[in-house]
Amino acid sequence: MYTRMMSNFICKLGVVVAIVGMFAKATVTTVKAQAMVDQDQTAASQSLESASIASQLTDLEQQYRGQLQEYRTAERTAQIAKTQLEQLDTLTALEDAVQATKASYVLRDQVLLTYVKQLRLRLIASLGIPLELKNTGIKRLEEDQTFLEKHLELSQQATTKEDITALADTFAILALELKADAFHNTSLLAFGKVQSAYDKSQALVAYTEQQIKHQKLSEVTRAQLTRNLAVIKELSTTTQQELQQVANTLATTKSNELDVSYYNQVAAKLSSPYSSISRMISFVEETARVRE
Amino acid sequence: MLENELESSELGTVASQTQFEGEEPLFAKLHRPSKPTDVTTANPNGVQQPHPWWKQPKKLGVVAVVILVMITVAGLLFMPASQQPVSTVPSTEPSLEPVTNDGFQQRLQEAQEALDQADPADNEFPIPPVDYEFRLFAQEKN
Repeated sequence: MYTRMMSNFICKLGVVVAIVGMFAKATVTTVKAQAMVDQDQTAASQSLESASIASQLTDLEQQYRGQLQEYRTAERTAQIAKTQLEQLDTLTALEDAVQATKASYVLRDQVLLTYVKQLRLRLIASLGIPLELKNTGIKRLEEDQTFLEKHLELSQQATTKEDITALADTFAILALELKADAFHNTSLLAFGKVQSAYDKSQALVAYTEQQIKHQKLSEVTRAQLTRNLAVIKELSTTTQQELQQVANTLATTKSNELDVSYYNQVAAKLSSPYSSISRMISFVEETARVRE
Repeated sequence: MLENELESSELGTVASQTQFEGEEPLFAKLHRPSKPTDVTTANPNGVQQPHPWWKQPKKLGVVAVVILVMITVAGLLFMPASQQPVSTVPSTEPSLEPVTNDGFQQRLQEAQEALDQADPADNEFPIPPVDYEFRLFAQEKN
């Protein structure tokens, strides 16, 4: 009797396990497949996004070059008109000067607007920048873009010398902000590039380390390679510390400190980690040759 | 007397032998099981015990099928991910790469390219060279 009950129980258990197992399997398979599809879609959307940014940047670069050329011509014309006004002091000269200045202001705003748009996109597409700094930079550039669009609109509507004077006054304030943001964000881009090169060099170092670990080598060669790796890792640590210091500087800089000398200072600070990364890559190459 | 005794003795013999009527079929009262019942064996005490399931081919077959199903399910569940025909989407999971020089060269090239683009001395995107201070009329001093 007991044996029969056990036999029935095993049979039923088997059926239940089979059904549950098949269901679990189907669920796991579906979840895994969904996860893979999601990952693929994310990668594809990122790829599309970067392709879209690259395409937009190409268009903006062309636009920028054309606008800059036009601006230079307009600026020369405005300078001549201003000189003529100073020399002739006629109403015609005044009208010409106002129109020429207006044209140069419109083109200047357009050039700056295209520059800000490019800088924003470059910042979005860049790697290696701490996220907080990146987001702050993008936000500031978006604010600059809004101010420039308003200024451009006012420039296009200007007709009198008073309008031109008011435009010059508001631009003086806007230009300070704009230059500060440009210097800060180009510094961020420079930092991001060096950080990205560092990250790539670390991937190379890690790969080399793995290869050494899994390769059959003589004791002497292995010892030599281990010593090489120790030197590379020490260099890597120092470089990381230097990069962190630059990142701290970028995070704590005040707006009034941002001028052309600021970028030069950041560039000077980045030159040391940059050359360290170059050395690291050379050392890894040298280590690879030893293995061969 | 003797006749009576003989007669009674014959009657007794007949009574003690088969008593059936001529019209009744010979095996009418023979009990035949219509369906096979569980095969039981009698133990010494006279109590019938069922055969264990492993001695019954039918149940043995069922158990074997169940075990086979369980093994199949277990096999499917624990099959390595790489062997699963899940979908045609290529896996993005990192896999162990064979130790080849290609991987090294690729990483080296990537690092070198990143380094070439990262020279901080080259500011490839300087602020626009426009006149930020151009004014038609000198600014009024407050």
